Amino acid sequence: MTALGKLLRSTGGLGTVVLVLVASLPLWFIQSSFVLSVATLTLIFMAASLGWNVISGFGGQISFGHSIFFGLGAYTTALLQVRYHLNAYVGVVLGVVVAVVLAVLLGAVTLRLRGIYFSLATFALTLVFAILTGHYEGFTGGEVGLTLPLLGDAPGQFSFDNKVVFYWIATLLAALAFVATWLVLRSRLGLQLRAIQADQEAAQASGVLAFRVKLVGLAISAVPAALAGSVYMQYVAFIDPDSAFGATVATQIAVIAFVGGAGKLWGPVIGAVILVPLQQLLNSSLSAYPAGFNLVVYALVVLVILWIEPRGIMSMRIRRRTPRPPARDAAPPGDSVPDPRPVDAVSATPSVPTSRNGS
Amino acid sequence: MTTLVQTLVSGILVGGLYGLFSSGLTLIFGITRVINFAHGDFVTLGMYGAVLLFASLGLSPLIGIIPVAILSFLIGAIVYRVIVRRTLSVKGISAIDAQHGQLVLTLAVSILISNLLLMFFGPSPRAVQGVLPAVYEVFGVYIQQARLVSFLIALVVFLLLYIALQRTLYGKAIRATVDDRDMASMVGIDPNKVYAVSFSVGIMLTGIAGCVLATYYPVTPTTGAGFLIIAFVTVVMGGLGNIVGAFVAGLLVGIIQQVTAIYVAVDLQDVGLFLAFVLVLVLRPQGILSGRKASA
Amino acid sequence: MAASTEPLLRVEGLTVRFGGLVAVNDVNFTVAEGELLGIIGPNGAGKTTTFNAVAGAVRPTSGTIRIGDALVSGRPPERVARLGIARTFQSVRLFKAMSVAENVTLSASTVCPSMGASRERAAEVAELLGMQALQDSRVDELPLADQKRVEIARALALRPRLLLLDEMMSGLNQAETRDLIGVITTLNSDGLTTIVIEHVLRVIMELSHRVLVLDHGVMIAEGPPREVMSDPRVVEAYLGRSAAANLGEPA
Repeated sequence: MTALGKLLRSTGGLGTVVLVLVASLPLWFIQSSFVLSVATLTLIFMAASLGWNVISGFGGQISFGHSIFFGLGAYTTALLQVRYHLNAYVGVVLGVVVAVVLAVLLGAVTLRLRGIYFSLATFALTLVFAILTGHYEGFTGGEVGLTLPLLGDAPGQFSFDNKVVFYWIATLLAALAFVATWLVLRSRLGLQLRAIQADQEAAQASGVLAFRVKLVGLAISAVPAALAGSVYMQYVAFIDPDSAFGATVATQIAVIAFVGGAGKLWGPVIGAVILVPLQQLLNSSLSAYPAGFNLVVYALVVLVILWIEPRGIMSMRIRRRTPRPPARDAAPPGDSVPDPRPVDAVSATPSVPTSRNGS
Repeated sequence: MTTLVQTLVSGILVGGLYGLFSSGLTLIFGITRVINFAHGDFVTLGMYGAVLLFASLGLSPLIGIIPVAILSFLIGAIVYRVIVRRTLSVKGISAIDAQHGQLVLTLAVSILISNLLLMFFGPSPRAVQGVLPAVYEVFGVYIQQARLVSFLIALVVFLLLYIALQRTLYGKAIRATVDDRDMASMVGIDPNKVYAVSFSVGIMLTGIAGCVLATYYPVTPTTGAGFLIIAFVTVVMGGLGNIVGAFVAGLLVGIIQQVTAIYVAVDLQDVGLFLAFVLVLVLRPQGILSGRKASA
Repeated sequence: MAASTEPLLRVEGLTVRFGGLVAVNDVNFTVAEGELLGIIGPNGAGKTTTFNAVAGAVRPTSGTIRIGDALVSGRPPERVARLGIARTFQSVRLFKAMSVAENVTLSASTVCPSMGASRERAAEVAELLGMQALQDSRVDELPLADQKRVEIARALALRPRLLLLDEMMSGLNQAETRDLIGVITTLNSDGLTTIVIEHVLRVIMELSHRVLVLDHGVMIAEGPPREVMSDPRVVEAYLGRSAAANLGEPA
């Protein structure tokens, strides 16, 4: 019992259990193509939000522009196939490259800004991308969007008839993003990002090369977002400026993490599991209600969760009978993952309504 | 030449309204440090207020300003009390976490408002028709009566705000709080009251701007999204918490938009604006960022 | 203290202007290896500005600051820290949501080759300051006196050649002040060159080998503590303005 408890309490142990559980869902839980698509989208946006967490959650530089990287991943993947007839996998790889290059270029300009000015600048920039993509329609397909050619079952072209394959790819993506953020959190980079978030001047006085650390953080954080965009593109086979770079995607990636708990390792996981299905469900099942009702419900759920705990679900305290344990569970020294209570948070998940995203 | 003058005039006339709702945002932003993501939707609410009053009671938006102002003030007070205060009262929360909480909460309020409007009014544009229909021609430059009158109202309301800040007790308390919050609370100004009042007044100004804007600008539930980013751009250009700066920057933003629309491309009008915004942020960060700690 | 031939820190013609205000005007001083220098002066004398200039947090309008052969002035604070100048803050500025160990490991991580080495360095420093028991506590849950120790620990983790302490005693009671004076003296007698800014004159008198007095941004006196305190200009600078409050206030 205690051995199991310990395993569940360690991030690696819990992560493995969750991964096995999630990967096996199509075998025993997911029975309809609708649920499968909701689950796939959940994992895709989870990955993007996990990426966001690196620069914004750990580093405190709140980005409302991660849709830039998501969109670049999606559009690079699509354009290389549609315009240049290249293999989709080349597009995925180049999408990451383009996103990282843009992250460094945009970061070089915007990361000098502090606090909310960075947020506003990233928000403005993603809207610039949306408008430009819409404007240069000869190349990008404009407002109408881009549709991938139907290839049928062509694994060599990143195209599968069996949608479960996309689910597993999305699972792999989310798992990799999780492991990557976990490694960042335990690394020097993670520690320095957290110090910058807490007090940039004090961090600099301790020798932290703040600008460089933030730039590296932003570049790393763009990778899962770009990959999420590419996988989304291959899965949905359609993209337009608004669903790539628009305000909805921009804020959605951030809101997922905020609702789960920005800066917490499990925050984006919890946030995505709640919000993405919620929105998908509302989009599909409430067609009897007037347009807008789904997002009203969605907004109310976000409001209620953040009203109860503005720092997100991971910061909610489940009231303990004992006032406070004298010492916290012996974690190996140095293995100081800032949030030692993932178990509580996960067990809290089912009790909270449900989710958002997609569109 | 006439095109240029026409462009500038159009920019200034719409810019006055940008200036008005942006001075509302800068008031909120400079004092409560709340990044109000729902700001654009309060403009939309003001516009629907004007449309509703006109459609049901035949009330001209020029008179509708009064009920819209009162309602906006009340909504602002409620949002402040229920949402903003909540983030500040959570035990052990840091200033930054509270600010991030407010940011996402106001974002949710924005989604809530725009979709409630969608539910009740549908997606098609609504407008107040036939009020102030005249068009003046001055040396080949056309000026619509509705735009001119709206601009003048915005100017008057802004001047009233300015005088109120300079002359009334609350105004002085608000300005003292902008200058130095700690000092202000030391001389006995209750910051909570000042926050609540400035938040509500900020929303009221925004509602008024929406109300007069409705005389020539058709409204849809998502109109506010565009105004939100315009307000952010304007506030940053004008300098944080600087009311006069916000109004002047509003005019500038109106001009930049119109010039880009006429001389580059209509659908790119916001690109010029956003790039100007990022440029301002980057080239003058010290000027814009000075005297700001809580949001750092 | 045996002053070596070459001073460790050399400040020449330091002037800092903020807009029209001259905060520090043509200040010159040196600090010898192993020395403990006190800087005093009434409020607004330019102590903290001088200090910030040495730490790289304020860019001098003119003048140069060197540590050893390396130029400090004009470099950003993170580079200055890596040159071996570590500081504490007047009001404690720790990384609040982190543990004591993480706070110290953070600054160690900017000079150590790996996280492992950083943790070792942090543990060393903790032992030096007798803080092993606090390692896993969150810093914002500690009493002020302990927070100040963590700030010193964080600075020491950088392996500094020069330690800058800004008003460490404010907010501490008599016993805590005594403890902290003990810590600072011990570190200094182990060879750490230190500059101390202090409001409480008694502390400066007790700690410093040499004292530098600023008034209105100008250096008005310099020398051993006793001599300086009997200097009529110093007495006037203090009594003339901020009056007995500064002299009388215990802590």
